[in-house]
Amino acid sequence: MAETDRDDRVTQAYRALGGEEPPRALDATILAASRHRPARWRVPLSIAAVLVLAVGVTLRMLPPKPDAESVALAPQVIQTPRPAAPVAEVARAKADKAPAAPAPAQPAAARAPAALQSARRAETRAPAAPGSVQQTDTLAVEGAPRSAPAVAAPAAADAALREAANRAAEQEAAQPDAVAGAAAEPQVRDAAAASPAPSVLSAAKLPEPARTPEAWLERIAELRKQGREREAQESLAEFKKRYPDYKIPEALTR
Amino acid sequence: MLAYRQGNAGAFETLYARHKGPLFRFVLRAVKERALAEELYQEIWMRVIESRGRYAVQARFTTWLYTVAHNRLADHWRKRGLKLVDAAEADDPPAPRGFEPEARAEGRQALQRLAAALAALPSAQREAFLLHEEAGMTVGEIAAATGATEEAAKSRLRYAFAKLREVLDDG
Repeated sequence: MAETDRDDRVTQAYRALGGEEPPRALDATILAASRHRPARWRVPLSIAAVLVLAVGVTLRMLPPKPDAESVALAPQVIQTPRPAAPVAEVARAKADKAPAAPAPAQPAAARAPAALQSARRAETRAPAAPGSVQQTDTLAVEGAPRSAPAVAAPAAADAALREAANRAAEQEAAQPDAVAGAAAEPQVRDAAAASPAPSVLSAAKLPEPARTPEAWLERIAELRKQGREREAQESLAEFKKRYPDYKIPEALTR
Repeated sequence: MLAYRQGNAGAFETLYARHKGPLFRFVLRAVKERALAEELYQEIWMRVIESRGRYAVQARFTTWLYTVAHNRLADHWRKRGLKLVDAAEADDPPAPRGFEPEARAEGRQALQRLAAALAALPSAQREAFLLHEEAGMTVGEIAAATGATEEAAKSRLRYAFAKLREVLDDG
């Protein structure tokens, strides 16, 4: 018998063993599983949901942006004018010790360097806002001569100081004459004019209230009556520089 | 299978009806325990269902199906510390008591001897024989499904038939 025939015998015998089949319950389970298909949109939806969640969490973790109001307020808070005590004190001390400083109309090289430096430091502490600069310049130029040229900072000085000084000069030209003060006033005014930073100066801290030329001359006369001749002479000299065209009474010019 | 992959559930039912008996018998005669055979049989079909999206026509569906079955059985043997071998192994689990295939009227004893001999075959030879008889696979397809060379598949099949012939001749 050929091997093929013998193989057929094996095959037939094997077939005779019977054809076991899986139970019907198992068939039903498998067929039911084959019909269950996840919706096609579920996967993209799941991905989209995860992305939305991730973005939301990330945004919540970011630091909050400062709103426009707080940003706008911040410079104003910083730029609030500060008392000019240091500059005023320096100027007052100078007035007590030294003779009159050069007139504010003089070039920047004649300015009191200490006052300029103090003003510069004060400006660094509280940078000026345009509005306050204008206001302070108005106070600073009271008593200054009408035709006084703009205050000029040294060439090497801060550009901001120069600009503020120029604005002060413009204010001077537009302002009416201010009353000159006592001998201490030029010192203070010099410091104030040289330190255009408004944060340095304030009206309340000026050594003497603003005076007209007439009041200044009255003050000079008063000094003479009190026997304070030297102070009267210094003040008169300062007055002449400030108001070169002003007709001084003869009694005071002797 | 391609139709099923595209969403035709009826295509799967057709495939299942065609292959459920041979596959069940293949698994049953490989593990010799009915409860275990039903469990493994269900797992094999679950893998087929889950793989429908990745199914690509590289061979006959029959070859692919029995490749899945072979891999599942290999996992089963591995968990038991066994592996498919060509030679008879001492640790090849014997057929449990009460395992008696359905027998025809004529040659009941011969059939019983054949069933016992089939159960006693080395697992690799038994597998090759069952793939040939139940799935109708050629030597090349048997090699592809089992991950063996054609020479190894041919050898296993020859030895399986030889031993079963002896049992029938002795009958």
